Amino acid sequence: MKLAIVIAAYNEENSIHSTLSSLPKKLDGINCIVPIVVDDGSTDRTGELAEEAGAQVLTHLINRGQGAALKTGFDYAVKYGYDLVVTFDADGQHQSEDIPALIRPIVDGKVEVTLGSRFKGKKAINMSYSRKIVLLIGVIFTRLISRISVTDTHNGLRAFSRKALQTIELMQDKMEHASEILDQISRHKLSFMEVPVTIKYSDYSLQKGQRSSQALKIALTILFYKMVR
Amino acid sequence: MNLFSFFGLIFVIFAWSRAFNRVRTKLMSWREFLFWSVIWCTAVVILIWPSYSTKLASYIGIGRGADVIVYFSLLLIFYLLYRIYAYIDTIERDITKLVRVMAVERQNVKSKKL
Repeated sequence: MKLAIVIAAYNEENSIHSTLSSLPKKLDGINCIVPIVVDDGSTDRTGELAEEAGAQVLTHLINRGQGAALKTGFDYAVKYGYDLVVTFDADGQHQSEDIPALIRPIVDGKVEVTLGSRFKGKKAINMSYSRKIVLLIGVIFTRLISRISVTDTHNGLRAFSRKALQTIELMQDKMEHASEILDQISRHKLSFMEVPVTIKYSDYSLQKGQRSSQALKIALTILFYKMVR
Repeated sequence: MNLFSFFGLIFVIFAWSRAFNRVRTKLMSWREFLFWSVIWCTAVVILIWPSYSTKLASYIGIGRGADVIVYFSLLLIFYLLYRIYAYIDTIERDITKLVRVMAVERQNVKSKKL
């Protein structure tokens, strides 16, 4: 099986090299692991450093958002025959030690999608209370609107089978893609399971990551698109 | 005809001529032109015969003719805002598609060179 680890990166020159070096070189049941960095219009040396670290780099000429960058990685992976895709953050929040457990259910053919969850036993290090509350509201919102029961709605550490990638059609370019993925898993009745993962918030990742205040915008966008769809 | 109606008519003629000019230079479809013509013709009728708006108001159960104009104008503005939003959304999606195709193609070229 061929595994692509898709990393959307925008101005991540401080962390991209260490993120790429942390990725596993071998995994059980996987013949080939390729890190694919989608440089989303960075104005720094992100793309260059990713290439030096041995990743395949797809370059967006202008910044289009994380959702758009991930979709570019998905399209590339499908086009070039990858069987499995893991999405991984460039800012060091995700731990590569979680990847084997994340891909295992898909490699074994049990499910089409696995979703990382920071609320299923493992830890979310340095997570603020406000973020916890926003994520809890997100869980309730997703259950009501997308009719899917998960414990963590905006966790960027996920894995998809090829079939899932061909089924999910991401339309949201920005951060709304995380809710959209859950919505599409529910709509297309893709089999999924949550896998406990560790999320490590650092000053750098908090500064780079999405703000809790964006939650309302995300909710409104998802509601709008569900109404006009 | 009062001064407001006079200047209103001049504005309508100007706006309609702009629409006509756009359709003549094929920047606007005949369907869109028809839509704007209906809007501007309605405006002309109300500017010349304001009493029609009062008749319409009593027919549909709204107190004054001026209120009918305000309500319909608001509806039209909301509709046009939606159209503009949808149009920008489509353009945004097209830009993303273009950026994506270019990113994948550039990677292809790089891979072939290696």
